[in-house]
Amino acid sequence: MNSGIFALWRWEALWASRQEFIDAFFVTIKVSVFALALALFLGVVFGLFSSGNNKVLKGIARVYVEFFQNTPLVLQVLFMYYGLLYAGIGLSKEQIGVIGLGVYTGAYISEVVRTGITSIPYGQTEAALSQGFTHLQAMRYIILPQSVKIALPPLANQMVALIKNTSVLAMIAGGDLMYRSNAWASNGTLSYGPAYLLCGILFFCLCFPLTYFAKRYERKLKNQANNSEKEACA
Amino acid sequence: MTEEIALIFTNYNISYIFAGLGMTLLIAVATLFGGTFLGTVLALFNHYGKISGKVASVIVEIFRNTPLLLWVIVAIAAVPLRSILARALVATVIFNAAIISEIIRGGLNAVPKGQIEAGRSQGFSFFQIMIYIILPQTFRKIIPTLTSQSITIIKDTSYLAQIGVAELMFVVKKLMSTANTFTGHPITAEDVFILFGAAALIYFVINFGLSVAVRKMQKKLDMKIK
Repeated sequence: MNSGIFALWRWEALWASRQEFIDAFFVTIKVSVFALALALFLGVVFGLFSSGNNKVLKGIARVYVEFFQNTPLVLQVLFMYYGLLYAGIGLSKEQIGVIGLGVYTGAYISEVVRTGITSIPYGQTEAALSQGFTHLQAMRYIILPQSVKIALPPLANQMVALIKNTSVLAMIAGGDLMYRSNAWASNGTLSYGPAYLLCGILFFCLCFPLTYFAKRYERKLKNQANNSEKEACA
Repeated sequence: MTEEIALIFTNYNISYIFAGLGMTLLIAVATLFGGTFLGTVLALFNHYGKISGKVASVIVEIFRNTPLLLWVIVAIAAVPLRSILARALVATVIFNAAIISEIIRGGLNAVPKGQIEAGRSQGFSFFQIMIYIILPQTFRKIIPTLTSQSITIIKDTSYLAQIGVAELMFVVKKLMSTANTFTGHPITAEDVFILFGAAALIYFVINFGLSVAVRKMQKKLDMKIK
């Protein structure tokens, strides 16, 4: 039998266990989607905290961001996994993945949101307040719609980071794509080649559209800024 | 809690943890320097090459859109080097080279094109222009971004725990799973909390220090531009 790492029979073996990979791919997508929702929620809340005027809320947001950005995601997830295990609290590995990734990415998104908000001149908030808007209304109708535009490219990049980071689940045998590919490859036939290639391609298909969009959109924003500068000069 | 801490942090365990930290820093430094060197080459191809530029940008896109852990595992299976650490380093260096090359490309864009022509007119070769004129300015601009990438690199070394490289995360995980041998009772959530908390503290001190440095450098750079 041909023993090359990409030999045909290895692909046949992969095809025979396709259902395992399909399931694992959906675990990765499911965890990504729910973690993203949590991260967006935390990111907006803490982003508003850190760009507001309340010192206490600002402090809380700072601690949250600094702690989660400066310690590894692997540590946070393992900490939670073993902590809950020995405390006898039953959470599924997928739930741990969603919470771990959501809280971690939320810290990054809150910085994206903060930069988005603070890049809008404060004069606009003052103008809105002078027209009788409440602070929340000024945020909702004047500031946030403009911030979203600026924040979209870095937000897309954070989504990519989140999807790639789902691979942390492999470290707690979480049934995700990375785990399944590795487990399948190191069992029985040792067909590393097809398994890792498929895993890489699937991740690439999820992430590439996002990085592509981020790049294009960023360029568009830059061109718009240049054009409006030229108009202002003329 | 304090008794438990005393039970866990025996002299032997403390030195074991510091050996793990040493390994983490070693991996991070090797990855940073290797990645920066290779990343510079990639960025130069990407920025100045035509066909080679296309190839370089495909390489960059492939690595930017797939997880590090995948490449580490691939390297373990496929790189013909003897030690696991060396194989893992191949993966972390190449992966980070792709990311750092994007950072360097941003810096290259910020250096005015006229400088190349000026260098040419003075009889410099392309290589000399890069080494003496363009790259020093580029690196001055990207040092803050590169430093914050080094935070990511330090954090990402923890993925290597999965393949048995004895870095900080691996060491702490191992101590935790054998905690009953030196506490004399079955592992509790408290043990997990103490050990992982210590690891978190170590990572935090290093990375927070770096992130403060990044902010300072960024401020200085912004002042210069103004």
